[in-house]
Amino acid sequence: MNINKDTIIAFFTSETWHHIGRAILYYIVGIVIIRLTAFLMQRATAQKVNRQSRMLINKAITYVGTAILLVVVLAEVGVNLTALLGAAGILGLAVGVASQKSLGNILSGLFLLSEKSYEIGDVIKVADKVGVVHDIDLLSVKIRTFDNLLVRIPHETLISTEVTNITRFPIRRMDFEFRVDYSTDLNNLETLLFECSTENSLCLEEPKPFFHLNDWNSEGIGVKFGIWFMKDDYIDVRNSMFRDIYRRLTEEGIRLSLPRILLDSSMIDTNQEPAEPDQ
Amino acid sequence: MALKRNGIFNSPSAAEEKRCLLEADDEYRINFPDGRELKLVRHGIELRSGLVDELSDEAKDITILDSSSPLMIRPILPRLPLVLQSESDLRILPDAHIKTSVSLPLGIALIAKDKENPIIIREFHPVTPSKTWFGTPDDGEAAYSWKTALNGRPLPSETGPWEAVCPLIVKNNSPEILEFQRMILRVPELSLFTNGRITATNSVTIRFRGETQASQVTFEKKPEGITGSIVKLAEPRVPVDRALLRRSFAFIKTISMS
Repeated sequence: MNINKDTIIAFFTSETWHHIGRAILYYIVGIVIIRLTAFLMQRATAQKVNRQSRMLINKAITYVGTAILLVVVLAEVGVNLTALLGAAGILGLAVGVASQKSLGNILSGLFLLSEKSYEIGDVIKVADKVGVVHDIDLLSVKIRTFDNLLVRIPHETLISTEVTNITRFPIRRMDFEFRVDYSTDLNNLETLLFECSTENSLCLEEPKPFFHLNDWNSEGIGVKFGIWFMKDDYIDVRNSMFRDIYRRLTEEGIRLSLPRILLDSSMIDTNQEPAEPDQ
Repeated sequence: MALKRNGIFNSPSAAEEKRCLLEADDEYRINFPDGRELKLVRHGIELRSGLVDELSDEAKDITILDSSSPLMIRPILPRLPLVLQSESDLRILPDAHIKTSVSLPLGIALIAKDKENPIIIREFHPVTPSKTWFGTPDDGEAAYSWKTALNGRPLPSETGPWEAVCPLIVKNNSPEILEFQRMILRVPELSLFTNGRITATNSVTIRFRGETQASQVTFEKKPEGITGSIVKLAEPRVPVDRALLRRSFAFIKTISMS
């Protein structure tokens, strides 16, 4: 093949290369503009909107910006967009049929987003998994469990499962349920439980704690004591109240009820000969 | 060097003002009303602070300072609003008002870069009121619970070293009787002043407009009814709008739980 200098110069100065050069330039400038816009939006909304909305804004800017940029770049290199979009439509249909699950997940994700049942940073419980919402993507929600595992839950699972948002509201109630012996002075018990809550600086004075006698049975009297606290204080409240209640019960001589079997000695015939063991 | 607590809070003169400055190699000890002792030691850029107990005389908490920044000891109001509960049953008829003074707990704060951009390094409160919630379980704000006599108490002639007073006016601008149960006083938005005898916040006027309506809260610029030369001791913790419509009253039916 005979390639001379003029041919090479002609090749690099041809109209096609001008278009390719411009397309590369558009692509680089476009990417910079998209990232800059996303960054500026993040900064502008940092104080005003929550993390979830910021993430959605960021993703919307990135996806829409990238789509527009692709159209501009392809047009610049001379790709027939009408034909391409037609092909994309057919391809999209084929992909859609082949990936119904994924489409279901995307639609479920959109419904869940509109419901606003949870957002990034919330602690949610799905089946037996409890964790902090780490990321919300097109197809799934990723939660970080408290033992630092990342669990991916598809939107379709979430839409058909009971999801408990543990940290939705700023305050929560914690219930302590236990059984006490029948010899317990219940008025005294109520007083000391309320004292425990008053003395604990993490327990909220209002809403007021509540004392509830659940039931009585062969194991004793069932008691429920509920206190309110700020959601961030969960561990501290649980541990300190547990200790305080146990200490006060011990100090007051109140016995926690344990499963027991009462044997009536009068029912036992002491004169009866012990049975011969089987041979 | 021992520092008297009264000298910090009621110190309008320039000479007294200097005493609130924690300079290099200063060591201050401040006694709390419950007998605990707060120790502050500055060695160059290192500040050690903390409550000391009988076993240890060491202040364990260390802060590294910018050598050029002045370090001030300042009185400080609680970090959360106070939910005031009247010690007696109180009702205010329509168009009537009550003018009273509310006693507030004070703490002590170590502040760097005073005036321009103050940074609270640490704060110590001898009294920490119990926490409470003002509002409904899904919408409200954390606060401290504070029982006080709301019976038209006039301004005292002198305040204690760990106390400030807030001149407060509650007006009933609604056509219904205001059965006073709980009212929130947003102390982080109040400034502190002194005339040498009284430590007081700027005056607050709250206009009740009905149980379902937000109340109008007005923060005056200075404490009213305090005479003499008044000096500002501390700025509000949070930025303040002088007049706002806010939920200020809570009634048992709205906060009770089933």
